[in-house]
Amino acid sequence: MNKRKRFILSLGVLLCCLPAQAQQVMPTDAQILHLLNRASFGPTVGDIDTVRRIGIDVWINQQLHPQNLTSPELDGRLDALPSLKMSLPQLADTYELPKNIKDLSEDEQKDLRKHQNEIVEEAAQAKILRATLSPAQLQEVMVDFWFNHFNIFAEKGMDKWMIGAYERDAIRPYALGKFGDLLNATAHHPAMLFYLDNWLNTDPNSVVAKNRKIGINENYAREIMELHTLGVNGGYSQTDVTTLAHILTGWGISEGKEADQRTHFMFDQRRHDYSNYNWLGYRINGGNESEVETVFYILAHHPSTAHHIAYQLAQYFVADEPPQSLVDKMAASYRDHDGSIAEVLDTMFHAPEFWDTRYAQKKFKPPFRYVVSVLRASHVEPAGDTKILQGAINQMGEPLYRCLTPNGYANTNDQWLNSDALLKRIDFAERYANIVTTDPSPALIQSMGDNWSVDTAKAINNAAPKLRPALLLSSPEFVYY
Amino acid sequence: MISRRALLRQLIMAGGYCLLPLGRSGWALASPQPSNGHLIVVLMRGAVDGLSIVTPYREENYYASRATIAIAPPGQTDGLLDLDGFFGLNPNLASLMPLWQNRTLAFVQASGSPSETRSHFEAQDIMETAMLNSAQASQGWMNGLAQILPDTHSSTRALNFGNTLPKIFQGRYNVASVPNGLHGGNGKSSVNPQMDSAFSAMYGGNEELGSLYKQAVSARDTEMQDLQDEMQNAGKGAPGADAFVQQSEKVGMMIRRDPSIEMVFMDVGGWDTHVGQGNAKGQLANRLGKLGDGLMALAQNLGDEYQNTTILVMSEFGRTVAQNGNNGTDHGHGNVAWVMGGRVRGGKVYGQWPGLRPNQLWQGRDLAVTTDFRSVIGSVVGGQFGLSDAALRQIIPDYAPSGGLYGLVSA
Repeated sequence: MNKRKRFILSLGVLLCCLPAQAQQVMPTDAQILHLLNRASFGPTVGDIDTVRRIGIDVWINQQLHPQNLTSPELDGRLDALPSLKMSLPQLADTYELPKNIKDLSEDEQKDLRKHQNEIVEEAAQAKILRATLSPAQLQEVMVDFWFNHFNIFAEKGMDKWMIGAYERDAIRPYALGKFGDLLNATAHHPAMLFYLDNWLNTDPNSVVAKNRKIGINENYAREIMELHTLGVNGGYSQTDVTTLAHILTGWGISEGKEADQRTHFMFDQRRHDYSNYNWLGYRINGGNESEVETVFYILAHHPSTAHHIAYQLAQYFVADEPPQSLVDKMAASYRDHDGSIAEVLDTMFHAPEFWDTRYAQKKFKPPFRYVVSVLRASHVEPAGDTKILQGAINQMGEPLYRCLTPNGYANTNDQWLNSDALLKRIDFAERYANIVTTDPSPALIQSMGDNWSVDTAKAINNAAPKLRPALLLSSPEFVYY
Repeated sequence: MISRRALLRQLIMAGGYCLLPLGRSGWALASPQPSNGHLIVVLMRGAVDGLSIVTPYREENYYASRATIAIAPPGQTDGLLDLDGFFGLNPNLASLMPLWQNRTLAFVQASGSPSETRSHFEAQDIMETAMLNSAQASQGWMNGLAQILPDTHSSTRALNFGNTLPKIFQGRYNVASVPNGLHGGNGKSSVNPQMDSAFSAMYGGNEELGSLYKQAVSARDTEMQDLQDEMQNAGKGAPGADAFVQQSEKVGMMIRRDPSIEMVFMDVGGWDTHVGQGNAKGQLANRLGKLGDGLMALAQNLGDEYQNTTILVMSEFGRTVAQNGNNGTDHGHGNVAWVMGGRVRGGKVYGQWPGLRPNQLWQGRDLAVTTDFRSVIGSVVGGQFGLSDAALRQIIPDYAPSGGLYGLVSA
């Protein structure tokens, strides 16, 4: 707190200096701001100085290998959220709605649903806290990226109580690891198999199919190729989709009465199609789990996957329409390093395209990034249960963990930049300026370094002091990144 | 002193005039703007099962392919509502039957995109750009339309409902967005005047934000002032349970109050029924029921403006003719388009029916496409706004009129 108060004292000085400084922008500072904007959720007070001191390369390397970047403060906040540490069976026992829920009174039903919703709220709170407070910023950025890449939806049945565990167990450990491991982890997680229906996918000629009147479901087979790996133009056909659905039969969720019996991945031999197939130009011999694992291996190592992942990363980190030369370099890096995500990012951060000024300050912040960047730049710790922040992100159109469709939330301007979005940023900035206890202007100015345009600096200098925070937070320098 | 709300109400009662924001601080009476009429496009994202909407109940193979999810023929329990002796309407859409009977509701069966894609996202892009190679499109087709219609000098002629700007509205024309929900944002009427001058100055050097800011303020004024007063006057209490119904009421009301709004886009999701689709009851039935209620609410709230409006409902592709292994349907091909409004020659299912016998199916599994979706859009847009084929080709590059749709909508 003391640290924060100090900035108030320097407010007058900083504001006086603004126009003069803005005219002689130091290129290094602009580079550092660009790096912090893209590789983190935005600079906080002192970040620019830190990067200047240790050097851009060292900072990147720390972020790519964040094992030592920890925050006891953050850990303490997360410890207060019980659901974060629960296993899937514990979650089921604690949060699953009883089978006889319809027999209960309306109030009892409401209470139970409210209790269940807490789990999504805790997941959302943890997401906001981590993005704001974690020193391992790139890791949090990548968790956000991969969650959207392998999106599931909290409002689909049991994914509500599994969604936090899915991120924790299937996404987070691999966010900077090998893509193949990430693909495998999501493919083995009940939350994904439930979301894209593969838990029901059954060989139509099996006894189970006949008894239960179930059969093929091609939902997961399609999305794993279209969205997760090869990409929509990755060179597969409808026959490949249907064939993969047959290969993936029996790849599902365990069954049983007790929570620990029905909450883990299970390959059900009785429902699997053991035929041999030609798929994607490969001969796939019918077999057990190893047959399916072969398929995942092929997908993770396919050149179309290398290109698709490279393109998506370049779009997220560099430009909505990323330069081909950069995508090619990143795809080559993917192939050369067995799909190592850290290596692909390292290639990207060291490519001249990343540092091309024409891409800086061109992406419009999506709601979650915007709100978190406000907290970081104003050096404010999100207090309490963060419900106000969750509500704001929700109103701006990105309710956390609640993207219905499997492609996840977009990060491109064509999705987010429109007149109402701008007005909502302004609304949020005004409300935020009213609810924070200390004037955030000094911290904001300091966080962003000498990177303000003349227009913004003038508007801020001319405005009454109480209007300044909202102006800063709605400025072009702040709504773009 | 008379309150602004009371004053507004008096002015509204005076009739014949609409209220337009003048600058941002004052209000003025203005003569009614010349309007080109209205086009409302609803995109059902997720690929709805069109065979459950306009159902070919005379097709043996329909019932043979769908053991548990078919809808019974007319006359039976929970049966279809007969349309023309061959097709029946889903009974959950009963609220729309009056529009069918007064011939302002039509369908185009077996329409869709000739593209082979079964990707939701690629197919939606195609539908929103009206180009098969949507990656090459520089704009959505409704944005293109806003560019070529005669200028009415309305800052809110094209309105998007939702938090993100969909592809269909992306492009050079600056489309205003209004948020979902009854009282978007935090319910306040506008940016405060003191802030406004500061923002205008700050965005002055940034063309993109500067023009979006002007648009935003104007759209919010229109929406907030016109609508909240109206809602309170009409005595409508709590909003309905379903977001689409609520949004439709709002759209209908806004257009009735401000006829210079010419184009509205809405989307509604949740149609990707891979599992447990249901038949006349169940998941899909419930959603269709709400969609029908929403469309009816839209028609009713438009009031007299319904006569000048065409509503087009589409979905990116249809679903497999046969049910899958989980009482659901997977991604298919041909689908049904819905067209309603005062200028529609309705009471008819348009389009050539390709049949459902195995040898009639596209790629052996799906309803074939016999009417290109671009012909449907062209026919609707051309009819509604009186545009020539040459004009239509400016926004739908490969537009070809379809003889089968002749007279579907007339200006």
